[in-house]
Amino acid sequence: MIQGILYKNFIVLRKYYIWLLVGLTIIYFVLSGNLVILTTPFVLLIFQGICMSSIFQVDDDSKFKELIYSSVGEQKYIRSLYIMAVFNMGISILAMLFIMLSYHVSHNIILLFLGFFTAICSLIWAFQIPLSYKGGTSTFRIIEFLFIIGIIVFLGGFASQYFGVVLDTIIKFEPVEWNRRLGINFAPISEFLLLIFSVFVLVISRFALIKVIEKGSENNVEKFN
Amino acid sequence: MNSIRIKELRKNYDKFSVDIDDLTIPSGCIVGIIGINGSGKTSLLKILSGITKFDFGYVELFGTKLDGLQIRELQKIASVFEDINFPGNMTIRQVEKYCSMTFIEWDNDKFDLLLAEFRIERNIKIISLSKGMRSKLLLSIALSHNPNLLLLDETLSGLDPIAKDVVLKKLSAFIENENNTVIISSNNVNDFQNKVDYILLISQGKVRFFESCERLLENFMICDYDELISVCGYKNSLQGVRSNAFSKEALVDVNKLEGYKNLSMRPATIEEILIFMEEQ
Repeated sequence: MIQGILYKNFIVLRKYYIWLLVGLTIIYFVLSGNLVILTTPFVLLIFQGICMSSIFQVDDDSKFKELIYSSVGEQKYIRSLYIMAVFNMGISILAMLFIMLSYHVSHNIILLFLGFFTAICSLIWAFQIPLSYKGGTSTFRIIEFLFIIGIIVFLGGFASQYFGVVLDTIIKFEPVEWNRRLGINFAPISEFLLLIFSVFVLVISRFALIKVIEKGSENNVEKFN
Repeated sequence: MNSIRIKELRKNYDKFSVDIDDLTIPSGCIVGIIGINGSGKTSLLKILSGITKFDFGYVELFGTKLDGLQIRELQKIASVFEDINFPGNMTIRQVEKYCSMTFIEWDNDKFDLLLAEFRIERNIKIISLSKGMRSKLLLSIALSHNPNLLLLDETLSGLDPIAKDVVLKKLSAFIENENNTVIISSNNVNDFQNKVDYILLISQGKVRFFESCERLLENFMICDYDELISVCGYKNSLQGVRSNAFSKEALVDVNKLEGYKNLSMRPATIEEILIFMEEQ
């Protein structure tokens, strides 16, 4: 069922994928080294923003989301938005990795860029994807915002200080050496897992909140009966 | 079997509210909703389709609470709304693919047949469809995913007489299955004359009456107001009064009127019943 919504979103966003490809090709071949590295993240952020707002605009103008609500329910609609946002971010990260690796940018810098890029995208989603206003309270929005700021600080600092070491170990040393250095790298790996867990908790908590709200409205009806 | 049961339903909007105390709609029938613009017809249909969440009350569809419907059950409700549409740059072919991915019981052959019947080409984009063609497309989609409840909001309004006839025949065929129900709203109430089983009059978000169409047309008559006063008592039977420069007419319920055989009366049309009651 959700495939249908994703298919519709893909049709709506097709032109932006083509524009992105053309734009990045122009940047890659026309601009010089440093400018390419500085420009690419901005272009990708704009791409993210345009894609999501385009979906919202199409769904609102034609009231298409009401058609979805009546056929598969609101939950599925929101889930499809998340999948689309993550898919677009995947494209962005791959494009950024390709350009930065081809310009031999150091791993630490790439990770730092990606960390901030992910954080900024999460921040945009927090306000763009309608999970936040399903929560309804300003307290929830503020807590969510603080959580994301925490991730930004954590991810940025963590990426620049530790994660490069892990990558260097994997890239520069033989497998025998990995084992010896595992103890040194254990701390950053555990922090990395913690980071993934935090993002996971953030996503799950937002979905859980919708469930709680819906459950609440059901209970009101039951109480009435 | 009842297809819809509503108890003390309340939905508040900024300057308006839908407020229905008790309403039970049987299955295997066509229900026509009438009412002036802004009376709450679309709001009620959107609540029944699950698009709009209500604030308070109880709504049951086919014996299951509306809130508790699973996706398979939700897809047993098909709705066609005037203001809801697919994105403009999608073609009919893409819409078909979307539907086949979305609806569990999607019937491609039925959809193809309906498109052919309505003369809709597959390569045209949604943006280039006229209002009538859009209604036909949405109706084709609604009928192709095998629903039990069909909610149609002003679907007949944009259709030419031939298409209207085809649609009404489709609706009659649809309710041949006694588990199926159609609820249709229209501003042009003459569309309903002799074509619907029940009439639901909504006024300011409230149900004025829910009555069998046959009974309504048999019992509601129009007579001269002055004659009504002089011949018989009218207090309980009077449903509405309308006056112009030359005369004053009254809508009466003959069931509640004694001695009406001495009155000269004519049957009221559904449109007249609506006008009289709203003027009241």
